[in-house]
Amino acid sequence: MCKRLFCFCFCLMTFSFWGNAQGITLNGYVSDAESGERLIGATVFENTTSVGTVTNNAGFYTLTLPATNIILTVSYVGYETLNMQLSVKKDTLLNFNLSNNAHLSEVTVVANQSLSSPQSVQMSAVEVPVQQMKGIPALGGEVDVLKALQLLPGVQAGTEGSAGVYVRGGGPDENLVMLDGVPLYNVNHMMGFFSVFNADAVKSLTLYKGNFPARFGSRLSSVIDVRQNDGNLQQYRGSVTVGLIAAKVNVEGPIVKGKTSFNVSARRTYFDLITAPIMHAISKSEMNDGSAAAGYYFYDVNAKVTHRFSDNDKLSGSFYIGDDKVYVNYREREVEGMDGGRSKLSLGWNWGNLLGAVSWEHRFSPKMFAITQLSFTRYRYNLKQTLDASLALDSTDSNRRLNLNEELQYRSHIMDLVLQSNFEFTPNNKHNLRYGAQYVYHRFNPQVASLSMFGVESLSNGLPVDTTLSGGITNSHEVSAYVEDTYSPLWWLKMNIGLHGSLYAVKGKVYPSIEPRIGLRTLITRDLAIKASYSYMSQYIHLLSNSSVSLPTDLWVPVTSKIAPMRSLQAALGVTYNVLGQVELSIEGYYKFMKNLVEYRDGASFFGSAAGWENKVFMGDGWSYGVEFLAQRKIGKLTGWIAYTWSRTMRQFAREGQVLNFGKPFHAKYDREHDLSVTLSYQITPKIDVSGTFVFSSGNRATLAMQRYYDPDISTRRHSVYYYEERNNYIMPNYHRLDLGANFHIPHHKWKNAEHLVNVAVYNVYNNMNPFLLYADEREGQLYKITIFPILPSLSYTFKW
Amino acid sequence: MINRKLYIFLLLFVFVSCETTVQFKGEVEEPLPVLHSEMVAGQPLTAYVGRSYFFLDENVTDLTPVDTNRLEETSNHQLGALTNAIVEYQINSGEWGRMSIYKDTTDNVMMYKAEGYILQPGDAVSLRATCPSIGEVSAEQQLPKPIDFTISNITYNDKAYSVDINLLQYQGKENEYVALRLKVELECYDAQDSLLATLSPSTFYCNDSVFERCANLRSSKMNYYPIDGKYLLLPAAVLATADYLLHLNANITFRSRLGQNLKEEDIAKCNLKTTIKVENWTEDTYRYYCTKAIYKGEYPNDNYRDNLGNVFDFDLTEVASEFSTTVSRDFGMESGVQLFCNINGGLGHVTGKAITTEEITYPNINY
Repeated sequence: MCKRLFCFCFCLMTFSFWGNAQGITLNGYVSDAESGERLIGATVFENTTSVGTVTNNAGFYTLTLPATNIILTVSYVGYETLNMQLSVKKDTLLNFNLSNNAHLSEVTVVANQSLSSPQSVQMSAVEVPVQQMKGIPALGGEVDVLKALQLLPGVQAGTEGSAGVYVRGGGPDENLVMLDGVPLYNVNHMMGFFSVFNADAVKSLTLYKGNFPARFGSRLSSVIDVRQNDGNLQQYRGSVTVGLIAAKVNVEGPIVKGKTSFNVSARRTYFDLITAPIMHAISKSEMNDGSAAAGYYFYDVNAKVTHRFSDNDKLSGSFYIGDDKVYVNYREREVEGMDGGRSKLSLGWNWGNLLGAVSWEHRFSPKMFAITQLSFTRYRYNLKQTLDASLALDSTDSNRRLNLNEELQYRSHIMDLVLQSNFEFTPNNKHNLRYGAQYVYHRFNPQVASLSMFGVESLSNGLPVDTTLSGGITNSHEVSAYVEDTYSPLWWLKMNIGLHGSLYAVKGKVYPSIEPRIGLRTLITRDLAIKASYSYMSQYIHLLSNSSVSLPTDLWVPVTSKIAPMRSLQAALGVTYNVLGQVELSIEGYYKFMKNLVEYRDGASFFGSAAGWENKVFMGDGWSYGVEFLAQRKIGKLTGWIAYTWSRTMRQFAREGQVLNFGKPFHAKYDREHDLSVTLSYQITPKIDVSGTFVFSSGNRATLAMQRYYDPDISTRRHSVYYYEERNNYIMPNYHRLDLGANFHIPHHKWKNAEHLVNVAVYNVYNNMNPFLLYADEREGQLYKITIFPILPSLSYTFKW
Repeated sequence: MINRKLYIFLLLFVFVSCETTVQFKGEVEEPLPVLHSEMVAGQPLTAYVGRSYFFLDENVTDLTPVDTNRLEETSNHQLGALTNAIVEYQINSGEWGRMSIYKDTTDNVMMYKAEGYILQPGDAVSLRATCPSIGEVSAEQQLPKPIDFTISNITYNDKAYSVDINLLQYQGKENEYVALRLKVELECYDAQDSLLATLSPSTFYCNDSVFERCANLRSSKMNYYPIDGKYLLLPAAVLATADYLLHLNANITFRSRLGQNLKEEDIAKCNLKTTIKVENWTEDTYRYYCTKAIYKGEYPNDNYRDNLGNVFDFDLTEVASEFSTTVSRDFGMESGVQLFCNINGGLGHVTGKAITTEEITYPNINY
């Protein structure tokens, strides 16, 4: 059925492709009037013909119109709408500059063409304005764009406080998270409590949960497209923020006014600085003669330089580096119980991403635009422990000592080199054709462990040891190409038909994939649309992780001859309604089937080890279905959204030799039946705005052994064994929380554009003890839950200029 | 300078974590009957019969896995052993016989035994137990036949050791597994032929394909998991049509005890003794042992889908992960291990195997 529909649509589009190409073509860029920053997703609408379009990721639009007298409306959320009447006789480059008006009162965005609007063919996608995100009360006052995504329908959070994103029953490794079009592998800091995205550097964020356009591939469950600011072309602006957890700075400005700009953001936490005096005090009081120091911090730096040669060409370079670092240094000058013993132990553990990209945007003609990008991304972790010890072997002879040097090291990295070209061709208003190709060179080195031990006097058990274990470097190549057309044969009918093809070559094995994508939109009225979609996706890499929190030691590995690529089929049907141009309502139902999912065998561990990983996992299937409701208001004094999801996510591992849960279907760990979030911001005065978030969701699932018994073969010390009847058989208590926050904008008394911003927020206002994890104490016959975030007030101060 | 008490208070306030009780929501499950029997050809038929407990039953505190200090106080009642069960057995579809209760002195646990019967290779054994007020359980198992083998070409020269083990052709039931255990020892004698010491290997680095990954092991790991604790495992199906020759090359260093209670001048000769046990497991035995190993935290490197694999193989990084995994498991962050269970109407396992042992001594070696 799908194939026939696909063929029919393809023929229809081909015949109509070159027709209706009469008229003039307006094209150009929509930018912020003050900074020159190009705006992604701005609407350009012609009122007499009711023809409209939105700007692409480069802020470029193209619109072919039959009339020469046109009435244009250009609008964007948070900006003043621009209306103009023009008389145009030939193809014209027309750039628009919109004025930012953060304190905009009740206005209507005319003929909104945003992704979630009835006008758009796209469904299962959400754009959250960055300004709206920044207003959401945040844990520790640290605004986090990924945590904001967790408040959207169809998106589940992981454990309490974590930035893990589980989309429509998929795992966190099934999300393609891109920064300026470049994939990021580890998107978390601090075991997942914070994401790597510094909100100050982010220009736009779009989440695709389904109905994936053909230009996206390589992940099953979602695409999270994050774009960085280019930088202010006109003047130097910036901000400095000091919060409870981190301090950050953002500076942007022109290098060559109107032509070249830069934007640099940096952030660092200071847990280590807070805990340092305590560590020092403890080491002083507890240690006779020695010292101890330990700490943790993370930092990240985002930078972007953009140069506009002309309206036809723009070159930009993006850079990101972020690291988490843990360090422990322990020195004893007198080892207890050993005369003359000395030891020095140091542990260093760091992990993070490095990303670089060069992008060239070129306008070939008013109807054709291209972006070509060469990028590099790398995630690595490195754990190193060294021990230098010196022990006296003979108390009468100080020269007889055993000197021991031990060095234990784990390293791992994944690196991608990506070359991609994406073209956009708009022959007429009925077609918007996109096509492109991508080549990715993946280099996996998932585990190198080395141990060296050297002693001056050999011990009996075989010193010295110098061993290096390696999972081996794996190189793989991924080539993909796509073509998609957004076709509108009738005013009420619009479709997006696409095909994504890819080849993945690893160790002599080549996996092909042809992935059809279809999206349909039928307008019932101008403000009411029915949408349907179908997507087929493939994924060639897996994340090995056996913990519900994001650990830096989680390892990315490619598919192999034994472990096949993951595949998914997703179909969705929905209704979108725009209420008076103010509120977008949508309700969507979806069904997703996932094949070749990987789960760990019972008890298997991947902590720091990819050796033999294929034998530690089983492959199976999963399915998820649900209904999602979203009411979103992006404009006016009161903004925010209400999101509700009812869903079910199951797994089944019943293949021969790969049986989990006795082959029976079981609930996924994050299968939460109900998920509700209400996020509202209200601007009381231009100087004060308040916001609140309420979250309610069914509890996570946990595996509890309901029975225990004696097994003489295992219970050699008369320990009981546990009988796990079913995986994830117990629902933890419901999760709910209310966060409140307020921003106070205080204008600087001397500088015109400068202001002080004080943010006060309280996380978990009514101190609900939400469960982070459960455990049973059989001796007391009691279940316990551990809560890690009770009521948590925060305060941050920002100076903007 | 900030007041220290205030500083600590603020820190605690910010980073506090809370532990509170949770009311268990769900049905308190009734106890299930438990039956265990490990049948070995050539040995008596014994079985353990007991009951399970609801996991939050605070009356059975001695079953708590972390409680190792009160082992001696543990009673059979607390272990869940049932002494009033009616336990019956049937061999090769013959008459049902009743098993009698006895006290196993090794584990000090009440067990049931088929008096006067020694299990034979190929025996099809049925067990059933009626546990008053708890229920009835049953299980079946057919014992496999032993695998014959020969040992040849043992050499040991300047730490280089090699041996050929020829597993003879065998046609058994589907999905039987052959497990091989190897033990190498050095027996040193004085001039009067009295045994002075038996030395175990301190290092065992080998490069044979079947033991390929043991080359990665630290020497200390080898001490902790000695050679005779490691299995080579392969499906019995590989013996279905022909013999299977294993050629093992290793580099062995024996733990020196010279200068301690062993003097070099006292040693007149040393013999190299190789003991090889070949076990033939039923499929249920294999599956139970695999889940048991995982349950105990001995992560198997199970390549059975490729026909070869060393089930109880470890690598260095997995040792390093011990702590992390234990934490994950204890705090519910990792799915629990589902032990293999083949009991109808209850819990437990009934397994069967046949064991063949060969011992060969390579005399007068220079170590």
